[in-house]
Amino acid sequence: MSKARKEPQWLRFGSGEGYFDRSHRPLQCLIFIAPLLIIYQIGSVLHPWSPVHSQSHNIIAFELMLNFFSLFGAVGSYLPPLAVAAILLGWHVARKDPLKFEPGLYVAMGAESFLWAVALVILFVAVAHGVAMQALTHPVEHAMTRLSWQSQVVLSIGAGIYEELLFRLVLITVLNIILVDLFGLSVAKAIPVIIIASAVLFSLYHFLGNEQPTWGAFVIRTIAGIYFAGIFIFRGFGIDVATHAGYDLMVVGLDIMSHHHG
Amino acid sequence: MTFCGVKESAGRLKDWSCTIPIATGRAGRVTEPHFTVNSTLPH
Repeated sequence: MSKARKEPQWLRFGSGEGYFDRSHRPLQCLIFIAPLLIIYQIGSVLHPWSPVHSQSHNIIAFELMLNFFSLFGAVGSYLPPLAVAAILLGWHVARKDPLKFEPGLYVAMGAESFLWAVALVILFVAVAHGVAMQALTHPVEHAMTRLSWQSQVVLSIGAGIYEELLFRLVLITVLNIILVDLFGLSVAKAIPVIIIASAVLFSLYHFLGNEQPTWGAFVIRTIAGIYFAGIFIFRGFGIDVATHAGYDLMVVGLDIMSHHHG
Repeated sequence: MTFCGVKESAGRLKDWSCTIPIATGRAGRVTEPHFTVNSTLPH
């Protein structure tokens, strides 16, 4: 028996003409995050501020994408940003969205992302006071804070782009195909499962680096994963990327300021 | 706590070379052009 195709909720967003719909559109998301793609690419490839023979630090999600492309024999550090552009442009064509450049929209999306990032900082400041997060997170912080502030800025931006690409845009879409299209789950039942599964995988992913796993870090990142997944689904990929990058940049900024004053 | 999955790499992404396999359409034959765009970037 054939069922009517259930379109995921987030694919129905963007069909109206108001701000909340237009900010969902893939082409507008691509234009909005284009400066971040360029900054990460230049910063991670050139490292103009680092000593000549120092080791480089990269976003694991970016390296996973490089490894994925190399499976097919394709190598090149600019393949991940090209993939981001290709996915969003392909999505734009499939949706038949209008071809528009809307500077005012990008300003509004930036302001909204800023507010979501501030809210997340406030949430975690509250959590940190509640459960003595300082002790739990200090080993984690050291991995980033050893680096120059420029590297931390570039990595924060790269995390926003490539972690949101893998764990929200790709993973949530794949989980939706599996649960809704293959197993026939309703969208309403699938969304909570998808959000929690993607958040747990996002949290575990951070331990692929050199970091010692702790329950505290795992829980905090799972909460953040749920937050980002909600923003991705209900507010779109562009705002999601900028919120993640914006949050990381704020934490880096706060950390630098606290060292100056401390 | 930032949400950056960061890994130390042995080398930098300084090489902008690109290798993309192109299938020729004949069974068993794949060409792999290698474009070395720039190896003199400041590093």
